[in-house]
Amino acid sequence: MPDFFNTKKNKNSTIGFTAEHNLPQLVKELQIANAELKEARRAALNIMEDAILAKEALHTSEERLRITLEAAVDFAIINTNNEGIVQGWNSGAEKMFGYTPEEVMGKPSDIIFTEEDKEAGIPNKEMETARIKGKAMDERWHQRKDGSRFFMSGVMRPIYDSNLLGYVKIARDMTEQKLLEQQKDEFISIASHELKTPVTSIKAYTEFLSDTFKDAHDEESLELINKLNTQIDRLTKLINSLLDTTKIAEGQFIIQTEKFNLKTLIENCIKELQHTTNLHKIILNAEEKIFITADKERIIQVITNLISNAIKYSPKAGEILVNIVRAKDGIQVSVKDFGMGIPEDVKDRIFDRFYRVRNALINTYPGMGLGLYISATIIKRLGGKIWVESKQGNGSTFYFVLPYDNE
Amino acid sequence: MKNIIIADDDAGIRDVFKLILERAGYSVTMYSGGETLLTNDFTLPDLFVIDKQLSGVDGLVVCESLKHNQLTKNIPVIMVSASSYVARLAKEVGADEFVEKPFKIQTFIKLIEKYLNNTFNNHEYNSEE
Repeated sequence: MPDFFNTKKNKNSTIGFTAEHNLPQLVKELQIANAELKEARRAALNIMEDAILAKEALHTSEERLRITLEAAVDFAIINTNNEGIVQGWNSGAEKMFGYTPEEVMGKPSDIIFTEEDKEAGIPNKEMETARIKGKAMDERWHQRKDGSRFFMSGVMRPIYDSNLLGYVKIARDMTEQKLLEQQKDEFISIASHELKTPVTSIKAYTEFLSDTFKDAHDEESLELINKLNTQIDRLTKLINSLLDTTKIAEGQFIIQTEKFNLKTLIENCIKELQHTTNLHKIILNAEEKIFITADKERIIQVITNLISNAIKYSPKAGEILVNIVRAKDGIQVSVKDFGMGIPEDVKDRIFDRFYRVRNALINTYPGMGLGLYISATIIKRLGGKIWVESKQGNGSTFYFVLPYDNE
Repeated sequence: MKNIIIADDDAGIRDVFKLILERAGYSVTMYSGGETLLTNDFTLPDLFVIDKQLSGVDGLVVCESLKHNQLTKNIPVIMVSASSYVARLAKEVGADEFVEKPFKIQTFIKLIEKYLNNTFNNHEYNSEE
């Protein structure tokens, strides 16, 4: 752009007037200046035109965004400043919460929370999490203007210019799905509880019969009744797995810790499990005393699950190696079998609820796909981690690490 | 003969308790609900076995009431349930023991004997074990 506002005068200036200039020279210079001025005006007009176009484009895109937000009627989209004051409230939010934009704009966004969540400081915690971690999940019961409640699943993210501008929350009403899930969990819970009562009776009667046959030295009947008893124990375990799973889902899975010698505990588990197989030899390798603070019953559950799996998935027999070592981040237990192994692509999914590895060659294996899910939950709840190393056809090694005691 | 009161809403389980305990040499009185146990209108036993799930009233409420009653507060109460989480609740209402269903008969009998043999020194029978 030419410097046409420059008023500084010097000898070389195109528009400077000095006595030495003659007229034709002056006219020429004026003509040049005039041309430059025209050029400058054109440039200025271009810039203005660009600005108008940009403004129009911005307006169109803003309008498009506004229409998009309004069209998302099934999603509440809420904008707040960095103090949580509402700056934007789409039609989805109006429909979901029952407040019109006029009622909430410029007011605190925590009106959508229940009284108890507000008291617990959840709205502020959410903004803090979003700020620190980049997002915060909002999955809980919320409250409408009329006081009714619904289950909402949403996510809040911080928005930045160069500084924190505020937050945006996108959420959906998930009440129907939540109720269905609750009903399902409740059903499993009631069903398993009800199943346990007849199982208790059946188990008692088989124990009576077992005693009776023992007294009568009726070996054949005794063997049959013991087999029946094994199946009842299996049924009990299945029912307990279902109950544990629903407890995890309902947040009622209780962990109670105490200090104990992990080696002794695993030794006892192995003794029990060795009785269930003639084909495998379970070998323990560990130091004499490895004390740990954890939930004893739950650890028995994990060890039993891992060794039972090792037996189940190495049907062609062999050794099962159980090792306890002191690793960098805690006490590490491993259970190694020499069975069929786990395909690479499913390794991450075997700890999922109801997931089961299927083997095309050998049909399927009995089970509900809950054992590893429960084991993984237990280990995580105890502050540890669990994983598997395996190559298909070459056996699997399951590992878990439990943190050392703090003292 | 020492008497044990059983309260359980399930007839099948009541049969089992009766069989187990009578074989072990105890006399048994059975209730399907807990209402009677909330009054003083029953013969005092040597021990109570109470399931959490009763018809009409929660077994935990019955246990709490027994433990607050001068007449019954020193009589041992064994709470029974198919849910392991009841263990903690049973402790809170003063139950002496908790047994989770299903249980082993031997374990159950041993538990009963622990209380009845300790409470009375001149017990007239022994476990069949």
